[in-house]
Amino acid sequence: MIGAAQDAARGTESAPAAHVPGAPLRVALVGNPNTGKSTLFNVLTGMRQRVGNFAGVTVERVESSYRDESGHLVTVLDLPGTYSLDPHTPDEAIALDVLAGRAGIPIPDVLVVVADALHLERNLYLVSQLMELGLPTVIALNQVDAATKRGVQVDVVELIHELGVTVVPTVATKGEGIDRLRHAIAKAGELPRPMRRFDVPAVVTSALAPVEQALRDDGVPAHSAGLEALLHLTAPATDHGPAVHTAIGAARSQLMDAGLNPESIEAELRYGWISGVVTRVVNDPTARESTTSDRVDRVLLHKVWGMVIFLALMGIVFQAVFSWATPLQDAIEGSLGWVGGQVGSVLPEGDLRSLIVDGIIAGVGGVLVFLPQIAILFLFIGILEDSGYMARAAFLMDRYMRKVGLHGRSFIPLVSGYACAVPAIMATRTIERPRDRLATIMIVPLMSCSARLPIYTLLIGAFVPALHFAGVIDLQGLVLLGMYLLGTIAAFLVAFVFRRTLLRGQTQPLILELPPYRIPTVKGLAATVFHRSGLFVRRAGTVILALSIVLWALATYPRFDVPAGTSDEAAQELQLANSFLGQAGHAIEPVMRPLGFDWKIGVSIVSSFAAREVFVSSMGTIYGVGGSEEGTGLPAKLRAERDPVTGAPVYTAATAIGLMVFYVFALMCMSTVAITVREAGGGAVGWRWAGIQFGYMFVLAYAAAWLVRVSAGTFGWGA
Amino acid sequence: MMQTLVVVLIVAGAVLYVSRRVWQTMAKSRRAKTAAACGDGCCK
Repeated sequence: MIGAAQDAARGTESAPAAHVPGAPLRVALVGNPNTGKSTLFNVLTGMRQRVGNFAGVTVERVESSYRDESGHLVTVLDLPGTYSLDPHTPDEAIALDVLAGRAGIPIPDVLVVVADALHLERNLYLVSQLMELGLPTVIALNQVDAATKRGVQVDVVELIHELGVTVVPTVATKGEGIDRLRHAIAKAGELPRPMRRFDVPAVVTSALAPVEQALRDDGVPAHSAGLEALLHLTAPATDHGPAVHTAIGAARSQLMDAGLNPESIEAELRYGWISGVVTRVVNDPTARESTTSDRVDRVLLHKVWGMVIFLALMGIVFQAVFSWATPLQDAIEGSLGWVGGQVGSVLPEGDLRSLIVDGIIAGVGGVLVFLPQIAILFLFIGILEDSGYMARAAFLMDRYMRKVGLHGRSFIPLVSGYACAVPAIMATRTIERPRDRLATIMIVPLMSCSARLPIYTLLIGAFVPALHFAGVIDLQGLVLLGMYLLGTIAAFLVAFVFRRTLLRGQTQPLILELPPYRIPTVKGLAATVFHRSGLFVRRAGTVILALSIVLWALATYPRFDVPAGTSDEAAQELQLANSFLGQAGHAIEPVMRPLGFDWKIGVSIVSSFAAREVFVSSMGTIYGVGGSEEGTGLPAKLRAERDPVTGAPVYTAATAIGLMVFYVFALMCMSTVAITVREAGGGAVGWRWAGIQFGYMFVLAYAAAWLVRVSAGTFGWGA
Repeated sequence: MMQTLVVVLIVAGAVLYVSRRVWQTMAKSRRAKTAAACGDGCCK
């Protein structure tokens, strides 16, 4: 399986192929998870690929380029992290496909293996396998600052001597060592190719000789047959013929007769060599000491105190989302009101003015008002991720996740779901077993994504009183936290049901590396906040803008002949009710009525299938076209809305809670459906799982919103 | 008259944009690169 890479790299069985002059130099960044590959990729290429202080951030190959010191184009591939060349998860398989030339792109000219200076021993396992590929290789010994700070010293000169390849110390987060790394990449092709650095015992060599011969007969180049033979002692040789299978079976028997365990031979040989290298290269006086990190972990991972701290942190995040954002939100609202007033006074009365003021400014502006909340939420998520706390939270939650049948690796996709379900579903590629992965895909959309935040904050701000308890705890923040917890708890319960019905299977224990604690950098946090806020603004300026225009047109046409003598407000209501949007809304109203939702909420819910924030922009446009209380914000318009027949308020606290609960559960997101189809297998199979996901979430949403309304009526709350 | 023409053009542009976005999103579902979820036959 690796043979193709070596064959192409060397051209013939023994003569390595050189990089074609003039063509871009193709460099692949490989290494263990969470060693800083994506950070290095960003520094090398000037890209803004997502980074994080936990394993599994990159699940797809990403490509960009830079010009080296001679002006030559260098194309860099950032690959998902992998611990070995024996792929266990879909994201690891992506890395191997690229190295083996199976990904539909040329085999890399140079490998840059990113190794963590603090955990060199573990990183050298993959290094030792990659060196046997025979491709020009450079080791980027990353995070040397963290190692030095811990008192760990790596003798770089000795390491070069031991490995026989160039080693460049780097601190990717600070851009240190990058020029030297670029130089080493440019020169890597001129140096001798790396090779196996340890001896294989005679008994193993003789047992593997027939396997190597069978592999060669099956088309594997001679120089890679040794590596493949070792790998196949543990990994199945699915892409080879029966002769190879027979030879592997015979070799395994021979090794067992000699008292050896075929499953562990490769690991024993490599770690035997690695142990010697580490002894000679690494000076770690703190190896057996209890570090500060260990002491902090004893508290943060404590089964009682850990959970208390976790919930307290979440509480602080949601309190801050409300209390910190208010002044900024007021400023944006005021600015948009001023812009609307100016446009209204400049443009003459007519459809164009209505389109801009009632359609675009009311629709897009209604969503943009929530930018501060989005920025604050991602600031906190960035702090939790970059500090290394998120991986600890995964450990804390593993106990509960295992009880409902979720794999520990589901935690990172679930947390990513708080930002957006689309990358979160892609992040499930780090999960090895298909059923575990599918169970996670099915529940990820229950985690409240950032697109729901504008809906929650609009309704909470309008209908939940800003009461304070004990001077610090804010009722609005508590309700917001409640919505997030409701989605999370529901996700666990749904996973429990799936794991006992459609997706039965044993749950595997979590093996997750705890990253070191780091103080998040201002630059890193700013990048995260700007990136996420930028995405939000871009959505507001593209899809939400376009939908606001379409909804305005649907709410404005056809023109309705209002009877003479009708008041302005009543005329606008009549026009809206008889518009295309009004007619569609009245058609679906019977479905929405049991939940206490009127036709305006109904059409806003349906239109939000394009993107959840569109609910807010739809309401903004509908109430802009409806024209009640010109100049006031959407929350005030919602509070003032009255039933034309009874005169009772249309929106109560119970309606608002019911609507929020509906959005906690409902899969109102076209992009999530599309990505579920793809990641669940594509085609009819993918559509079937997406259909199950959409269906169960709609039933949950409808039932929960109905329960809220019934309980509010029965117990007389939220009127 | 001029106002109406501008409004019609803007609305038509928005409709085209939304249609394109829907088409692109659905196209993503067709590009099944990793059918990992079906490896053990659980979803057949």
